[in-house]
Amino acid sequence: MSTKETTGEAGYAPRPGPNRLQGLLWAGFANAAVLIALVAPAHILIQGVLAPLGLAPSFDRKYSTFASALSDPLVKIYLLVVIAASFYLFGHRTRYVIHELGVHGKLAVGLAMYGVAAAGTAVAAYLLFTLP
Amino acid sequence: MNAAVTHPDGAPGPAARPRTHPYRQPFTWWLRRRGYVLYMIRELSALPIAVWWVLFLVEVARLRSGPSGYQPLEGWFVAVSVVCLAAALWHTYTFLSLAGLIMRIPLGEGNVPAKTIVRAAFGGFVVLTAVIAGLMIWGGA
Amino acid sequence: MAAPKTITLSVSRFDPERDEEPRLQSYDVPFHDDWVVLDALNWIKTHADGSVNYRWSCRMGICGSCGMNVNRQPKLGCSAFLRDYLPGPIVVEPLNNFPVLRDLIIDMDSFMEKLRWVKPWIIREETALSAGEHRQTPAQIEQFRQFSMCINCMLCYSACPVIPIEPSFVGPAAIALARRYDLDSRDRAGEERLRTITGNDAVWDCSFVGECSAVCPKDVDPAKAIQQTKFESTMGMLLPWGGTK
Repeated sequence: MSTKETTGEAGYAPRPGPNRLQGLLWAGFANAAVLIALVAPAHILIQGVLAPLGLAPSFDRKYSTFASALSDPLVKIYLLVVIAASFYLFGHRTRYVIHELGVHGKLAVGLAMYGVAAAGTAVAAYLLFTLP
Repeated sequence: MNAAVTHPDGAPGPAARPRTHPYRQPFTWWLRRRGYVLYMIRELSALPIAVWWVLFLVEVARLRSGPSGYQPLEGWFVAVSVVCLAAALWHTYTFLSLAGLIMRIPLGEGNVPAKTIVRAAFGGFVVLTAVIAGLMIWGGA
Repeated sequence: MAAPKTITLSVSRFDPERDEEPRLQSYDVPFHDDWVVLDALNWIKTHADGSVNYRWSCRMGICGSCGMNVNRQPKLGCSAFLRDYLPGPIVVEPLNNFPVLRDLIIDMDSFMEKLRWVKPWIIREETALSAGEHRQTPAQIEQFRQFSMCINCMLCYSACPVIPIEPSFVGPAAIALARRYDLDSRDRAGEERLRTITGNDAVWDCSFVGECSAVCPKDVDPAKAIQQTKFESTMGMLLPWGGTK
């Protein structure tokens, strides 16, 4: 890992930026992280904890209210955006963690993790937008 | 080590580069400092959040069973949701706390104080939580 | 409890001409309440074993020479008090993430090259001397003062878990140094310097572990410099009017 081993005779000379792809991936992560930070706890608290325990009503407890809410395109879009953000947050962060635990092949790890996120989002879009 | 090579002008040339011992990071590097462990927890908090939304999509898929067939998730779902809620709150706490550090917003000759940004972020969180909870509860009534 | 008379230091030894691997060698050093690890090393070299090698200079936390691992944590040898490690033994090893040249001395060539890479100097058109000095208000200096406090001790590189995975990551100190000049009102580099830290092996390799800032003895907060660079450069990429600078 001496200079000559990592950089060759030319000296330290990585490709200068701006690396717009990485910039975009990071900006997407930052925005997704903010969105999830702001809205996820509310959903999980109401839908996942209070409502199943009977401590509060929630729109997903009954077919009538759930189907009615999900027939609204704005609701579908909102949920898809939040779900896409959650999957993207997972993909982006896990990409870095896997890499830092010693799995080399930045490109492969990146493609795999963002691919998982994209696949999950595609499934979510299908489920939300093809309701009977 | 090779003997120094003298140049025609008399100055000694570079000796051969000495052998160095490389550093290898152990797989358990993240256990070595509290900061590393907290970092791992912060990053992995994204997993339970994603898992919870997968469970939500299970409910959405169940809508296809029709009015008589639909069953919301119950029982174990609460226990899983508690774990996911803890992860979500940890993500919220760590990310919004860092918002003031990430964003530099010029104000006059200086910047908006980081504390102000953080307080605004947490304030926004409280407001949005109330709004969304309200909407879900109203939608379920 | 009475203070002990001695404390044991286990010092990493590596002679490239003789050793395959570094090994620990123990020395019993006199304990003094106001001694630091550097004092102990100097005692060892003077009284016990003159062959021990380590870098040091000012012994007061400003030159940045004596960075080393004390009980696995990156520290300045002149700032790590023996009394904080009682009863010992204290394990003294070279900084992580750098090749070891000899004993506690690491090969820092890559670090020097990375510092140079970010163009750490004022970039602007030359002005005549008769035009007078470049003036700055205290507020303008405050914008970059924190990032100018770096003593190049490399503790941040030792704490960063990305460096051993991506050895060509330009690293925390270099990015903090670049930001120091980007925020300097006298600088007119614009995109030229920013390109050095937003390309490959630059800020995007950082996942904000944050330990670089935690170990910094001068509170430079390189993690802040890196995250702010990510934020401002993406604002510049995505917003038509270019960003916040």
